[in-house]
This record gives sequence, structure tokens and C-alpha cells, in this order.
Amino acid sequence: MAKTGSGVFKDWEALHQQWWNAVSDGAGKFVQGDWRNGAKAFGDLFGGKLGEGTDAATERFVSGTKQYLDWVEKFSGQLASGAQFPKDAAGWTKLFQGALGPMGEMKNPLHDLFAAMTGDGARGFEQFFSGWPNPADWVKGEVQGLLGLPAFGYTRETQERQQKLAAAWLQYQDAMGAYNRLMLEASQKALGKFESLLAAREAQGRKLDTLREVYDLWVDAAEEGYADVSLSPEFRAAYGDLVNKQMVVRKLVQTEVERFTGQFGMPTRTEVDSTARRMQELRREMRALQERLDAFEAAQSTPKAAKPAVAKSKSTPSKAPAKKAAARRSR
Amino acid sequence: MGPIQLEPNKVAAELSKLGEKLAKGMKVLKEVPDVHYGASEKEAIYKEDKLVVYRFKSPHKVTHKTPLLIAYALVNRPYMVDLQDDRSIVKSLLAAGHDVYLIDWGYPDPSDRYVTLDDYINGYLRRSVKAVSKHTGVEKINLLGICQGGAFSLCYASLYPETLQNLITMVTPVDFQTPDNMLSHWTQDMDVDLFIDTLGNVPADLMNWCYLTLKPFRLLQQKYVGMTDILDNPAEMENFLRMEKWIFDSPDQAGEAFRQFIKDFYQGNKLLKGGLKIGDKAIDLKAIKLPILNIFAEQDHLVPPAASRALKGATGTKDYTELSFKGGHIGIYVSGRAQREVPPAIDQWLRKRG
Repeated sequence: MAKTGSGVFKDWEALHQQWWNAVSDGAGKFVQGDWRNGAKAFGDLFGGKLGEGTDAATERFVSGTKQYLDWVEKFSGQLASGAQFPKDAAGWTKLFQGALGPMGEMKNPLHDLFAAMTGDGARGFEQFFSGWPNPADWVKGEVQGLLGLPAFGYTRETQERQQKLAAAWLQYQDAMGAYNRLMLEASQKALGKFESLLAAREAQGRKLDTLREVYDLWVDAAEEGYADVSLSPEFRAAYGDLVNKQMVVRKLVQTEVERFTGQFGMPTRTEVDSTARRMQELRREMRALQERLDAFEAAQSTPKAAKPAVAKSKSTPSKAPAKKAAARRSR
Repeated sequence: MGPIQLEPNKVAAELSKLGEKLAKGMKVLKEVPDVHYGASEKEAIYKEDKLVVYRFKSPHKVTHKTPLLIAYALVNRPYMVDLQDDRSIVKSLLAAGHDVYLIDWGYPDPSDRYVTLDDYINGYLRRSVKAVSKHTGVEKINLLGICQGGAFSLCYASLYPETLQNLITMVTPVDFQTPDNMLSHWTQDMDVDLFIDTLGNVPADLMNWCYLTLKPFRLLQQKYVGMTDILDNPAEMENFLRMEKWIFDSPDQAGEAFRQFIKDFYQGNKLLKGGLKIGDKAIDLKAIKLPILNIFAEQDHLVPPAASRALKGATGTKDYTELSFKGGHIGIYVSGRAQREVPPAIDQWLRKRG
């Protein structure tokens, strides 16, 4: 049992630096640098060295664990700095919330969590535009005022396309805003769930006595809060809208890319699709013909007298092929 | 202190241990070889486009006359059923005397953008069954469909029942609109036509991302925090990394097949409700009269148990068996419990039915 009164804080203070050094030292050794910048340190020093699968997994591990260590540092730091030990679930939840950092209430709680995931498909849509002129810049600049105006002159069609893209981008941003608001709701629910789970444990006389147990309970609560929101009709609508609006922007960007690459004589997506469609049609026709040919050849090679016997034995394995197959199967 | 009773010495010990594990971690990771998969030797017996049908070479005598063909989902790689020596459903089935075959659908590329469900089910799957039948010399085979491959197998069984002896479905969605099906919920308001017209094939990374966000705190963070527990254990780390490799080794999805799968299965729920057509052939689950073993996982977050249980009564079979597995969508193939329970259950069920 921990000491009560001022003595406990002395213990926490004395030990905090010691244990934190141990963790930081271990984490630092793991990433060969500052663990707070673990993913970068890992990438710089070990990229490509451990094999493709191992590298990717380790990078995900470093990113995921970093958030845990952030929380451990803040949470244990609060205790070591002499914060009053809470007496109930509500108090602990408040203390816990203070250590949540990016998962606090001021921003999309999942943003940093998602950012920890790497891979092309996981990137935020903003990164989709990296290397491209950002449509948002058009919105910020002079074009913003022209969005609702009719286009004219030699560049009329170009203006119209840009207006359309900028408008689609704005709609996508709105959809993202609606999605983010629901994520925020999920994080608020998570804190409520955390408090309820803590209170339930207290009522059952069950205690959490390691940081990991506290963290695991938080994850349970966070998943419950997230599931509540993400199974709601509002989320379904917001998710669908976000995907649909993103696809509109992507499609418009693709159109621009096609125009651009087409001007340089490069094959476009439309051309590749057209070829793929024809190829698939040919594959189907070829398979159909092949099967007809196989059936024809089989019919030709079957002795006429044997035909009724084959028909009769439909429900049982045909012996001759089975014999041959058994020979093939034996090793 | 309320519900949390943290003591300085205990926390110090906990964090010191974490520090030690982290310090050892990089050394262990450097020593872990690039992970490989596959416990059983296999040979290709049929190839078509990117599809390959494999036969597993058994060191044991084949005692079951009817071969077993496994049809896995399109969304992950099929080697999950034969991941490693001590985690292989295939290995256990071979040991039980089965002649086991597996469909590898391959990795679709942009040239496969127009491959449809008709191509997959009336084409690839039908010809794969035919190939196994021809290879073994029997007219009817056993089909084991897993997840999406289970849904395909149900469609196939309703259309070509004369080619099958028994049907086994594992973690297979049948009712795609149970209230707890998060994945389905998210797809309902998606404009799938716009989605596919824009993306063409659906990128694997996008699919993975979608699955991860079903349980983001567990799958993006807690899992890796948990990895610290085994960071100093090379054997455990190798297993962990092998699983990671499988999870993120996902094929892109052929655009047209994906379009119909989302529209008809997820949004229309037509497999259960009726009205589903694969190519020009109508699917009627009541046409399936062969014996069915339906295996589902109780903690499945991708295919909730209720989604699988809906198969009961939906078909025309009089020989329907359910097996409830205590675990999740992945654990049903690779957990220790799965090795002990799933293959023996399949074997015993098949043994009774020939």
C-alpha cells in the first residue's frame, strides 16, 4: 500500500527521475537516438536494414509506443510533481485527461493516432496533394472571389475546371470538419466511459495498480466511445459524405492530370482502363472457347459404347481417372 | 486512492522493466531474420491469369476420398491457413488424412480492374473446383470457404451443387446488415459507383486502413505497446512479425468485383434477402441442399457472429451444423485454441459425411 500524506510524494519524486531515466534510456537505445523523435531516428538509422516486413512493423511499433511513452511521461510526471492523489473515479479521470496530450479535447483525438500509422493508403488526403499545387491555395487567393462568377475568354474552360475543383475541395473540407466533430465526440465519450469503468471497478473492489492496467482500461474506454459514435446514423452519413466528397476531388484532379499528361503524349488512365476492359473481355471469350474445346475433345475421345456407363456413374467417383489421380497424388 | 492504487516502487519496477525490454529490443529485432510463411510443401495444379490452385503435399496417407478445396477471401493472402509450423490449419487437416487444395487469387493489377464477381465465381472458382475434381478423379469435392471466400462458396454451391459433396463456411458473412457490423454501417452511404469510377482498383493500403480504423486504439497503438512484452523474445517476435507481414500483405481489390460486392452484399444484403445475381445467374441459398458446417468466431469484429449465424435456416439443407469458436477473426486460424479445436472439428464433421 502506498504511503499517505506528504511522504508519498517524496517517494514519487525520488523514484520518478530514476525510472524515467530507465525508460528513456531503453527507448533511446531502441531507436538509437531521441525516442521522442523515434520514427525519424529509426528511419534514419535502420531504414532498409532489417528487411521490408520487419522495417515497416518496427516503424509502426516505434510510432505506437511513442504515444504510450508520452502518456506515461506525463501521467507519472503529474504524480511526481506532487499532484493530489485523487480519491475517486472522477478525480482520476481528470488527472488522466491532463496527461492525454493530443488525445485531449481541443482537436481530433484520433488525428495523432492515425498519424502514427504509415503507408500510402493511410495518409491524410492533404498529403495526396503534396507535390501538387494545393487547390486550397486557389481558394485563398484571387480565385476564391471568382468561384461564383461566370468564366469567359480564351481560358474559360480552364477557369471553369479550376472553379469546380476549388468548390469540390471546399465541400471536402466541410465534410472533413463534420467527421472531425464526431471524432471529438468519440473522445469525450471515451473519457466518460473511462470514468464509468473506473467507478465500476471501484464498486467491485478491483484496483488498478500498474500504469499499463490504467492504459489498457483507457483503451477499452476509448474503443467503446469510438464504437458508440461510429455505429451512429450521424457517423454513417458523415463517413459516406467524407468518402464521396474526397472521390469528387480525386476525380477532378485525375481529369487535370489526364489533360496534362495527354499533352505530353503519355498514356492516360482512361486509355489504360480501356485496354484493361478489352483485355478482360478477351480473357472471358478465350476461357469460354477453351472450355467448349475441352468439352468437344472429351466427347470425341469418349468411346460411344461407354457413354451410358459414364452417365450412370455420375454420383460416384469415376474409377479410371481416380486411379490415375491416385497415382499422381502418391509421393 | 480510489480505483487506481499506484505505488512508487511498483511503478518504478514496471517502468524499469519496460526500459530494459526496449533496450534489448533493437538487438533482438536485428537478429530476427526476415520472416517467411508456409509450413507445408505444395504444388500448383492449375493456373489461370493470376490465380493458382495449389495442392498441399502430405507426408501422411490420404484417407479421405473426397478432396478439400479452400477458397479464401480476396482481401488478404491465403497463406494464413498455413502460416507456420505450429499455426497451420492445413497441416492439421493433412495429418488427419485430408487431401487439401487452396486457391490463391493472386494480386490484381490495373489490368484486372474489370474482373467481376461473375469472373471470380462462375469463372475462377468454378474452374478451380473442376481442376481439383479432374486432378483427383472424383466428381464431387468438399469446399471450405473463408470469410468473403465463404460468401463466394455459398453463391457457388447454390449454382453448382452437383460438384460439391459438403460445404464448410468459416467466419462467413451471410447477413451483411447486423446492427453491430461497423464495416457494413460505414459503407451504406458511400457512392460506390463514384468510388470505383475514381479509384479503379481499390488500393490495399486503403483497405488495411479501413480495417485498422474499426478498432483504432487497439490496432494502431495498444498492439504495439503490447509488443514491448515480447521484445526480448526472438521466437515470439518472429511470430509477431510474421502476423504483421500477413496483415499488411494485402492485394488490391479488382474494381468491378468490389463494386458489386459492396452494392449487392453490403448495401443490398441480397445474399440473404434474395435478388442477388452473379453474372446472369440468380443466387438462391435455398438451392443449397448439401451438408453445411458453419464455423464462426465469437469475438469477430470484421464478421460479427450474428452475420454468420444468419446462415441457419437460410439454405435448403437438412444437415446444418454450427461451430462457435471462442476467439476473433484472425485467432480462428492461428491461435493455439484454433489448432486444437478447428481442424479436428472439420475432420470429424467430414468423416461422418464422407
